[in-house]
Parts: sequence; structure tokens; C-alpha cells
Amino acid sequence: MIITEKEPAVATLTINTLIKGPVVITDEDLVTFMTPLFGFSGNLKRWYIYQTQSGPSYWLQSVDDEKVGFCLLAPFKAGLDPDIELNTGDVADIGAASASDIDVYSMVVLDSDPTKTRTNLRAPILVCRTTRLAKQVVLNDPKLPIKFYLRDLKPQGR
Amino acid sequence: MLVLTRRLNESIVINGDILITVLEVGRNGQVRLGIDAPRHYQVYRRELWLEIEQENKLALASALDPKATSAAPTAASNATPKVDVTAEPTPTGQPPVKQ
Repeated sequence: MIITEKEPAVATLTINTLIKGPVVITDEDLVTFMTPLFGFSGNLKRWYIYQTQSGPSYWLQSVDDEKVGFCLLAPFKAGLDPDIELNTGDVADIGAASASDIDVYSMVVLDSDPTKTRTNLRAPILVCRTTRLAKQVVLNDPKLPIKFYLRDLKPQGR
Repeated sequence: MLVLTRRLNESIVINGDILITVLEVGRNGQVRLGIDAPRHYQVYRRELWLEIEQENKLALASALDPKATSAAPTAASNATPKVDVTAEPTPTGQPPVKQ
């Protein structure tokens, strides 16, 4: 007689995303914001980050309100190299043991004219990969632009 | 709005745990304030807060606009910024976070 153990079923959740439509996710896919995004309700705590293609673009979807979602940029993947100095309190708030636990994203304002698409390097979103906690923070460096136009990324000359 | 008048080095207390002190009063009208507050309080210049809040709201509006979302940034290989942002990336590509 062969006895096999069934693995417990993983609880899933179907959410509606702005870009991909309905998506089935698990609790492990969720990101919880410790403080609200600036200008948004504290009721929007649970979020889902996904991509539609490989590259530096991501989408941040509210699980608590399907009508709320944003385009994010992973600035380091996009070729940007912002000098980020994080507050130890912010790092502790998301439960990160070190910088290597943290993914950094910047909020993108899209435009149908790509030369007007821009990203906010002054107030990035930090996500701890291990705890799945996140927070939008404001960096102290006034040289980091709130409106960095992606047209200012230029290909390297060969 | 509650209006209180303070002199140099005088303070006000908010909720028993936030202390705001007048550290310097400049002749050009600038006032330097010291703010002592628990870590979970986020303290920013108002105009900075408003600008970031506005950008977040514009980001939402743009994500809801089908014409704008079709222009989401794609892979930018071999791209370098014109903006002078400093710091060498770590080998893993993670930010060189200073704590």
C-alpha cells in the first residue's frame, strides 16, 4: 500500500488589476504598506507588484481598491544610479536586516508622449523582500528630483 | 488654526510627545525650528509633502489613462543618465544604501 501525503492547499485570492485584468495570487505575493502612500487612504494596505514584460517597469496594484494602481520603475534596472541614503528608522519599519533585503521602486507619471514620462526619485518606495513590508519614504538629498524625466536617460555611445 | 507666539529657544508641545523649538530667528524672516518627535511621525516641509502627494495623484491618473499606459517605460539597456546622480552600484545591482 502506498501512502502519499497531500500538500495542504495554498489559499489564493483573485484580484483585478488595472493592466492584466483578473490575477490569482497567494498571500505570499502580497505587499503590506506600513504607512499609506502620500496622499492616499490608510485603508489601502495590501498591494500586489507585477510586471507585464521583463525590464525596469512594474505595476503596483491595490488589493483593497481595484481602481488604484500605479506604474513603478526599478531605477537601478533602468540605468539610473541615484545615491540613496536610507533612514535607519525606515529600514527598521519594513523589517529589513540589511540593504540587500530591499527592492527600491520609484513612482512613475506616465504620458502618451514618452518624453514627458517621469519618475520620482526623491520619494521612492521600499519593499523588503523577506518580510513583504513596504513604505514610501522621502529622502533627505534635495538633489534627487521629484520629477526626473526618462527622456534624460540616454544610450551610451559606442 | 491654533496660533501661539514663541521667542527664541522657546517651545511648544503637541500631544505630549512632539516638541517644536525655535532655534534661530534670522533677520531675513527665516525661522529655524527643531522638531523632536517619535520616529513614526513623518515630518517634512509642507511644500515638499504637497509636491510628492500631487505626483502620486498624477501617477494614479496616468495609470488609469489607456493612452498613457501604452507608453510605460521599457528595458533601457546601455542607458546612462544625463543627471549627475552619484554612487557606485553594488555587484548585485542593489542600491548602496547608507544607514
